[in-house]
Amino acid sequence: MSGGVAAVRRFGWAPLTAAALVAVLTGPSWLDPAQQNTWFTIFTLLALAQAWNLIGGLGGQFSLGNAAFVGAGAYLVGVLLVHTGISWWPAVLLGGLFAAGAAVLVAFPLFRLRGIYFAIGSLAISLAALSWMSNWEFTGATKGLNLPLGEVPLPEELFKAAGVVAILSTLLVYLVLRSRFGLRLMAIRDDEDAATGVGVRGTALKFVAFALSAFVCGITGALMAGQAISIQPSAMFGLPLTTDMIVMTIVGGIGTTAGPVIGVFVVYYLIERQLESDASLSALLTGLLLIVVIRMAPGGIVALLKLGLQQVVDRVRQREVPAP
Amino acid sequence: MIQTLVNGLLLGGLYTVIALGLSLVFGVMRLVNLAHGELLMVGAYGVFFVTVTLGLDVDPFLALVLVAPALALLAYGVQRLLLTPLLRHGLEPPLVGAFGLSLLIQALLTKAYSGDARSLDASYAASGFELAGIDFRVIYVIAFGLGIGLVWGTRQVLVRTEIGRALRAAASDAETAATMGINVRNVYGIAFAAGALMAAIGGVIIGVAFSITPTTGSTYLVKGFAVVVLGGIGSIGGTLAGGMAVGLAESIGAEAFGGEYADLVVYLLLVAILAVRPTGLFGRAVTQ
Repeated sequence: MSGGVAAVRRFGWAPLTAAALVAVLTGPSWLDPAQQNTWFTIFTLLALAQAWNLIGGLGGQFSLGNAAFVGAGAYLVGVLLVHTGISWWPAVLLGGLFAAGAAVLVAFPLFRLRGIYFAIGSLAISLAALSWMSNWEFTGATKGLNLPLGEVPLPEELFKAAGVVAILSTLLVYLVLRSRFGLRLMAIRDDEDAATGVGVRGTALKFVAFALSAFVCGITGALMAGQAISIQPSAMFGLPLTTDMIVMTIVGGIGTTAGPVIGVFVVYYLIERQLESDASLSALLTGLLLIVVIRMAPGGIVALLKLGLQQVVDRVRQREVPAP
Repeated sequence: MIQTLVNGLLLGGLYTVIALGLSLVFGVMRLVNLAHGELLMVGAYGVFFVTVTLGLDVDPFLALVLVAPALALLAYGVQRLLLTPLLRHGLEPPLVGAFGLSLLIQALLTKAYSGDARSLDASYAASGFELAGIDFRVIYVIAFGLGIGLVWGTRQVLVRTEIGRALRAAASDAETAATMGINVRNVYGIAFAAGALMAAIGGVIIGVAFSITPTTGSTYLVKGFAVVVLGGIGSIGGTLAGGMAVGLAESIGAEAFGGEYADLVVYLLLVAILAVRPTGLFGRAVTQ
């Protein structure tokens, strides 16, 4: 009996994940192209948010540089498709690996830094990448690249791929949260000095988290490139991407699995989509929302829900106790 | 070559002005204001509002006399309502709060003035003169003068006035300062307001010398931070040295690699400094 309960605890995530995967893979049969397009955006944003969640939420490093990894993946795929014979899916994988490699490289100067130093250092990297790519003739500078249409899969395939990436990155966060790696990472986040004192090696853990985060960003960037066909530095390396990742994660609930999911829904679907005609109004509301959340409910919507749930449970329990 | 160096030094004046507010706020309350770049832009757009939207045909720096106090007041409010309360919750909430603030400001500016590049009109915006075979751009010289002047002025305030003493006390030990009757929250608000005021000045220089968009702030945030890191955290005189260093780096970089790569040189310089010596040239050691 206990073995069964233990099994559920260990693998309870499997049925839900399987169901989600099935839903996504059969999606094209019950979603029309416009809906698939919307969901593609939702999936990519979710994947990116979970990627940021890994380094910013679990790792406690406020990274402002993740857009660089999205762009790295996007452009590597573009370059590979245009200049080499490598086909789409291997190119995507290489895009992710390239981004992860870039992260490891970049991590060397950055990872002795904490807090604001890391934040601005990562911002500098992101701006440097944007600046470089905007001037590099090989990749078309500001005009960018056009991916060869024949090599890029159909929108339906991209939809499915994005869905899979989103689900797997959410699963990744879920599993990391419950793993020894995650425990150590969060120990570093919560009190690096104390954790180091008991033998947890912070730098290596942060490297890994950063590389994982970058890998997901790179793969997602590659998929985004496939959907956009025509890519430019401003879109693929731009700060709005980083901003989205951060806001959605924090508003939803930083450091939780469900946080980015809720955050993407609230920020993208409720705000950005509804206010598509007025981009700066939606940006304004998003900024305001972030300020309100961090000031009033730093744990995000997830924390609020937990609080609400707790109050409901308490009230129910109170009623069960007979009055004296 | 001399021209490059002169340009670099003069540009350094601008970077000093930009970084001074950042340095002051960081020195007093250990908060690196992620929204500092946006404060620069607010100053510039504020003047734009006065000169263009309201139609008052005055010199931008004159308009600043009206705009800067208003901004300082707003900044004081923001610090007391949003940022100071967050300081108590650890290291990340103030970062996030400032980040949210920067998003908000960018969105407001875009809403009001769109994303198009604008510049501030001044009769001397493009003019220059020649001295001993070297070309000087008037606005750069003004920036240089302001940089030195503001550094001197800030030092005087910090050393000779009561509020300056309060600022320094709060900077070195806020709790003890509070026990000595210093209203630390008020002091923090004043420091932030002063930072915003100096940011406004910097923004106007940028608006006159170059051009501005609602998102131009991020670049200057990074450059300002480079100045602060180079010059040493909390060192006002160091900010001047850091400003000169960044100005020279950019000028030499532009000469060596081309103007488009000038910014890139500064970004990489910052990363290099952070990697090697985060304490800067003059500052005291910091672990955060």
